[in-house]
Amino acid sequence: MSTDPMPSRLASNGAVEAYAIELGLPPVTFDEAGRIDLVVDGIPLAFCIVDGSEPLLWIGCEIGAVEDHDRAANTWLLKSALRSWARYGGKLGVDQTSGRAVLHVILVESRVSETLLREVVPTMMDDARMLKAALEARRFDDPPDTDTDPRPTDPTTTAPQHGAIFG
Amino acid sequence: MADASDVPAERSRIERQTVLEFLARLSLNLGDHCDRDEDGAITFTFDEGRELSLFHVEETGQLVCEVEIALVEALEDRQLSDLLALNMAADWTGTGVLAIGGAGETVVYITSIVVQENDAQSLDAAIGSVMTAAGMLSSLLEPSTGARASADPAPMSIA
Repeated sequence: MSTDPMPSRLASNGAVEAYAIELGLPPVTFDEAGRIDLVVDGIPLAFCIVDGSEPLLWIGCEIGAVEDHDRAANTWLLKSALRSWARYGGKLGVDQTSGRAVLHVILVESRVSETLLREVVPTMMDDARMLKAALEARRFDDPPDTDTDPRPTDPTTTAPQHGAIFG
Repeated sequence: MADASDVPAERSRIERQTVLEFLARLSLNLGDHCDRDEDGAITFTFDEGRELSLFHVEETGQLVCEVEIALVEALEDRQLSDLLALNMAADWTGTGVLAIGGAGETVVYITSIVVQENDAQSLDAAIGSVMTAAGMLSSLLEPSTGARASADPAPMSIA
């Protein structure tokens, strides 16, 4: 095992460490797979480096389990897919392997900073809390009329090109 | 000499002009197949009736594209679930978002194009990509294929 951190992990490492401290969490660092798993206010929150031609930082919040045949829940999730975090390239989807709804955003790793995390993550977490509570209570009324603008206005966001983020 | 605060406004004006020229050209080329409302948004159909709408957002100079994919009532439960899996598979849907449109129970594919100066050609290419993505999404939902979201969605898991 190399003792030298990959250069691509430096930017995110410092930013996420600082952000975790700000949240009042114990010190964190990326594991060998380039991943950090936290639980913030009961919401699982993961940071994962995605290696590629341009390394990316994937940030995901788990919302809860959704069955394939749960039409009401799936419809509501699709209605909720346009929200404020979408401007950062964030998406709401369901992982077919685990059957869990996940809110996630992908940032260009080299541009990640504590400032950017402070802007993006709380927005995601706020929505994740709301979505999780609604899903658990099966309260599938129309999503609150927040910023439904899907335009990604931040140039530090992008989508991954290929390959699995988690093995 | 303009100070720094003038730059964004000037850039926005250039982008706006590029978009307007593009929309005008598109409108012209499409002729009777294209509707243009009083706000400048245009809508046209392709692929045997699929509707694509373009809205220019003046504040950012971006062009937002919306393509109707399917009526929710026409989808099976599993297909709704598949759409959510595809929405997570950002590797091929890019920055687009699959969502149910606010105006009705229609699944739409929404994406935006960052307009560059004097870059009408890239607008052509970008809109072509949107149409291609919409076609792929629609084909995945065709009953005959029975396809799951098998367009290699990244198996992201938080667990």
